[in-house]
Amino acid sequence: MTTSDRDLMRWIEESATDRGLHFAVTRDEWHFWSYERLAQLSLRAAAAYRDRGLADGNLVAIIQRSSPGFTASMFGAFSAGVTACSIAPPFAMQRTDKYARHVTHLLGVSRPDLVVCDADSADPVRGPLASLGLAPPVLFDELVAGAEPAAGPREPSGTVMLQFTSGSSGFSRGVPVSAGALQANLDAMRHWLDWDASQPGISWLPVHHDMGLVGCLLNLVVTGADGYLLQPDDFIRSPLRYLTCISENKVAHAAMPNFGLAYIVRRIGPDQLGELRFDSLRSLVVGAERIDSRVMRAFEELLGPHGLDPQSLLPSYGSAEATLAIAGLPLRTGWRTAVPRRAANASETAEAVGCGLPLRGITVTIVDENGTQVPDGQIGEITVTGPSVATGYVQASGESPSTRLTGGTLHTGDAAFLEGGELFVIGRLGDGLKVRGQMVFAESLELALAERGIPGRRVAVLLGTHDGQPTGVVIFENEQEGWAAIASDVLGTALADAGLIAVNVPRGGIAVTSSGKPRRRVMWRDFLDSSLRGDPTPLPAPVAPSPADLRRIRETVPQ
Amino acid sequence: MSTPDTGLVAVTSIPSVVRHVIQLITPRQAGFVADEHDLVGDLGFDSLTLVELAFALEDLFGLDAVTPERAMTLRTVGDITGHIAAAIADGAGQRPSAEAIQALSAQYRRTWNPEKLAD
Repeated sequence: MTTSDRDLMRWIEESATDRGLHFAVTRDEWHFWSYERLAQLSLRAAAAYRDRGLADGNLVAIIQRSSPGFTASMFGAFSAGVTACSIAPPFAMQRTDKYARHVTHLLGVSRPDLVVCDADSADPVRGPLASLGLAPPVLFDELVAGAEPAAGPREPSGTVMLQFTSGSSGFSRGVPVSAGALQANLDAMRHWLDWDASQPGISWLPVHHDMGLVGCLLNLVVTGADGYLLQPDDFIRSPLRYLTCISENKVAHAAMPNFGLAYIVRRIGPDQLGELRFDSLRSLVVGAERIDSRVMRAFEELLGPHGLDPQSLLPSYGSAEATLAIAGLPLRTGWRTAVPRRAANASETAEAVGCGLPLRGITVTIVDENGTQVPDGQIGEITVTGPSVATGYVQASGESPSTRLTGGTLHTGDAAFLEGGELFVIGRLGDGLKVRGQMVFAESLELALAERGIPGRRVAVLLGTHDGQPTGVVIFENEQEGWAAIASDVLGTALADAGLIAVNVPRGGIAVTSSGKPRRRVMWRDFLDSSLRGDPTPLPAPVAPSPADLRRIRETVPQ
Repeated sequence: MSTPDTGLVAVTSIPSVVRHVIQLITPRQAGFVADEHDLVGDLGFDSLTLVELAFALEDLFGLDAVTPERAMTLRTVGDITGHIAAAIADGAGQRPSAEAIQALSAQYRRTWNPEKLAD
């Protein structure tokens, strides 16, 4: 079979009985649903949406775990011409108040005409829906009960999905994805990976973020290949189960963020791999956050003796605003690192991992602050055009965030340089850091500092990659006693292993706009140039209180 | 001939075992782990490592998953040890064997020192 462009609903017409999705259930069992069976369930969902009066222009919020029901809810929406919006159910250990706040924000932006849930996800959203004046959720089983499958799939047009960008509530924005954009991006990815229906894939990623939904689930189903799907919890509980599945089923394609590779390296010792083999893996796409060359090498060291081909590791770069994939390392190339040879100053010479070439139909340009293209080897902002780039956000926010969609161009707010045509991504330009694949915005940390008593106008937070390391910089205006400890706590908790730096500047030392907002990009440049009006000093990393501290706490705090 | 209880740790050792497991997984370098330590604030646990810890403790002590409401109340090391001790007393959990604790520790490239039980 050769790689070819495939319409989004062709898999339904083909209704394969010998291929489909294998869902991990219990600790060691798999539940197989053929594409024929999934097609029927999807057509029942499509009919059910229509029966409820949903049509073009309506939106269904799907709050379900990765499952046959989730798949049918999505493709049923595509077929019925209803926009689908995938929202995460609460994950294990998540605080109910935080979830309520987050889901209320997403539902408030998407304003769904229908909400479809699993049994577990229905109760946590009742309150948020009621507070927004929206109808209560419908369980998936209720939705399709008694529904006869629609006669056949309709190829979708218009807005097929609403994706949310990464970020905590209030910072996550809705991106409408057109049928053309989704089709173009899936085709481009299939072409990049030379993926056809005979090559099985695997994923543990959540289906509420672009990489897990578009990159994994939709790619698998639309391509018509066998797919092995685990929940994120399954992977966390037993990364060995994930690796064993790849070996036993000769899986060809996989994808995960950098922290997933790091987790495998942390949890699995060479003695645990036994007879497992990874020769079958043609591609392991690494994306969604900064790629750490040490993690990549440690992963190669662990699985190399078991047949992992280092050339199968494919660093990539993408964005929800561009549907998903923007650039990726071509097959059979081998990943590499490079330093920017036209670095403006000494602190920008650290190496970055190459994320390959723009995918088919996509143009990537690196520009300076004035929007002028910079030469190869010089760091600038990544801008993207192409058929998979969205035309705008659902609501124009009052802010002027670093990531913008204007006139068909995505200004990513990410810093990178080109070298020999390859894109080397460094990180953001001062406003955010990806932590465990999720965006943490500097502004959200400033709010957290304010809650702990540091006045908003006396502090600014900058987040980016400095000297090849994820870095958080706190700028204090006339620092007061206790502020460093608070900052260390807040940033240390939010930013995992990032380096933490404090800078104490005099009054007026924080650059702000006319409305008082921190000019983060300017200050980040000043930080890199060592021209902030104070000396950067390391913030002490937060440490667990010592026995002496705990005794003191016990004595001073009423029990 | 071994009795069913052979090799299981004593009930009084449970808190110490729980602290040992937390120390295996804690993201922040902690020379020791105390009941007062807040998992997130003091020990650096995040969403990934909290789930990892939950699964390790569920598997080791044969516990059911906690509800989100209950999970919200488990903030400190002491909350966790209390929860597990209560579950075992209620028969909703089991004392682990020394072998199981060593196997878990080995997964993290560490060993468990039973002599440290005398707190």
